[in-house]
Amino acid sequence: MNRKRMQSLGLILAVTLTSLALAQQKGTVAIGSKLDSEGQLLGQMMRLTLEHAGFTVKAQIPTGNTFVTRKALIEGQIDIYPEYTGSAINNFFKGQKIPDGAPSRAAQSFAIVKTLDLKLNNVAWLERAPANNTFAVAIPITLATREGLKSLVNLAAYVNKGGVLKVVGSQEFFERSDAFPSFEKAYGFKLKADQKVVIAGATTTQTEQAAASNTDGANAAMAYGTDGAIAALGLVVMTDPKGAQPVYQPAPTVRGEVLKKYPEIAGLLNPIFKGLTLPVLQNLNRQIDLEGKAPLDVARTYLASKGFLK
Amino acid sequence: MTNPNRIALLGCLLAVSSLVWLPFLELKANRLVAGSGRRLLELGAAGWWLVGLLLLAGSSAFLIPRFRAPALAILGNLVFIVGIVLIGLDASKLLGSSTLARVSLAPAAWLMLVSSSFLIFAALNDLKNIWLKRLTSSVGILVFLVILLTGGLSSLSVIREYQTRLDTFWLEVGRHLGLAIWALFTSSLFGLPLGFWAARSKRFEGFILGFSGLLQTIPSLALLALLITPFSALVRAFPILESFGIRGIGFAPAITALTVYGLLPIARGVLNGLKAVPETALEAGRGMGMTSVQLFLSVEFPLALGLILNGIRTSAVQLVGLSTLSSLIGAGGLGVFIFGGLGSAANDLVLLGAIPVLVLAVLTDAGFRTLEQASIPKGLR
Repeated sequence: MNRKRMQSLGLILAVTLTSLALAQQKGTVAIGSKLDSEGQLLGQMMRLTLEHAGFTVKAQIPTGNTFVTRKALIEGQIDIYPEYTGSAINNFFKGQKIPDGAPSRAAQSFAIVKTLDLKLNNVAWLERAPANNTFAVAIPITLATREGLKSLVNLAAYVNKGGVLKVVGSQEFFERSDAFPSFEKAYGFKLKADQKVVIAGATTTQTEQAAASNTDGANAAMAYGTDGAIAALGLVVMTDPKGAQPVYQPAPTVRGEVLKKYPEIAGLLNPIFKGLTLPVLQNLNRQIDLEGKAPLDVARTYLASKGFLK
Repeated sequence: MTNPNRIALLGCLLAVSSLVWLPFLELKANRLVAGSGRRLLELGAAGWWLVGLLLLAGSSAFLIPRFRAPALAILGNLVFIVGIVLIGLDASKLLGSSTLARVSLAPAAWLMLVSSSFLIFAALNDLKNIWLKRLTSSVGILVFLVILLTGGLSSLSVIREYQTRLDTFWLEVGRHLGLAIWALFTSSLFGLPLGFWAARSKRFEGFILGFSGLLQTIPSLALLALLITPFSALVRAFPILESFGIRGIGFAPAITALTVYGLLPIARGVLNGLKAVPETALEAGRGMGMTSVQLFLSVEFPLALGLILNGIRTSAVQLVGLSTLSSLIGAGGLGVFIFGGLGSAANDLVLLGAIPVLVLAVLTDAGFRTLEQASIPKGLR
């Protein structure tokens, strides 16, 4: 082998090693998400943030439904994905003792999920968003301001003194004991059959639309707390101070090994999730669901406007 | 007087009555809400051109065949083209400057497009010259593509969805095709020998058909979810696999699941093809002193090829459709739009995924049919 050839070989080796070392330093992280638009939005936010911080990101957004995505995380096929405290507490810890009433208290359910998941599965939960994406009742803002209705306590009092209320929802919403009946039980009111508009298999978009346009006299709708259509349709969510519903707050779930290797991930994602309040998430979901923007674009614009991407 | 062309007449009747009575376009205040329909003639006087063309086409159905065929060919294409142009113009007029509103096609527009294809089919039946036939069946589609590519339809809701997902749309189309082609390859890799084996052994035949039939009954979503664990374990045991792109989620389990479903039509095609070879042809071959390999290569295989390709075509078309499920296990594909749209009740996003799947399936079918035709030995054509 002549000298020139040796030199060039040496150069190639040096370049390869340096680039390998650089890649090692920044690290590769696989990010997933569930299929829904909020899941994809949060997944894309994580992806952009980590890419911006110099990580090499393998994006697998969306990964699949809750079962597939969670399994991919546990099996180490993805490293991070956004999950809801409520889904975790209901589905991931079968056989574990969960204190009564804990699922409907935000701080307590987060603490339980965080402790159990780390102990049992070595999965870490980072900072949660202060927004609750659970079953809720939404009513037109005009009705809310006229009658001074803010929470389900007010709404129950309004119904009990004979106020006009007609709720539109899916069959499941009215029949499942942990859905609408749990509101009636916790707040002490009972709707008559003619005060319910049942649409079998209805989505929250359809019910919100019906309540907003007063279809069949409906003036209240089954909704999810962070639905993008709520504000756009002139509706407002009744708060649930007694905690009739389990709390569904989204947070990044990270494999323990990955967080140990790259602890800076927590510092990068926590300030972002802290800022995702109910109105903020409603507005971002609205851009995806109503305006039809792509989750990646909405995530990028939002992060840039908040100064997370420079 | 000759009999009028009934197909053409039916098409015109269908189109004219639907244009008069049914909504042509639908205007929605935003992407998710229910919309309100607008009939063609409410949208402007230009709609009369379309009605006029259809009436002209209807009356030309009564001409003698020599004049009828070219008249229907020209008018059918004109109806299609004018229809597309009107859809584009009326949609942008209806949309105005609103950024939230959406316009999509309503029943009368779909029926008008269907009836223009009736007219073209009627013309194709009468035309004799092969080049005139090709011209008749392609002009409309070519003009449609030009209008589409120059942005003439960009006010339509589906195109809006396309524009917002421009950076991922072609990526997903590519992934979808890749999944379907790879799955067809692996299905053939296992299906062809299995079919051959089944044709050779009576006992094995029942087992093969029963087993691959059983595989077809496994719910697809369950199969996809079940595959994550073994694939993850495999990659953990042999990390080198990861550099080939094999992981617990994504491409590898998706291809595996698709292969399971693609197997049966191919194996069955080979089995049926080999069984359909007449005993007399085999006798003749043996009589000529052919060895069993020669017999297979120059008698059995060529005679069975048509049915084998038929099985591969069935499998291919099925796989193009089934590949949508791959998005449920992180392998992407057009299912990303279909399931994303279903999840947020956005029908236009569902269409953005479903229309290309339909087009791909039709093209796949046509391609394999051509191949089947070409595979028939000259003497049998």
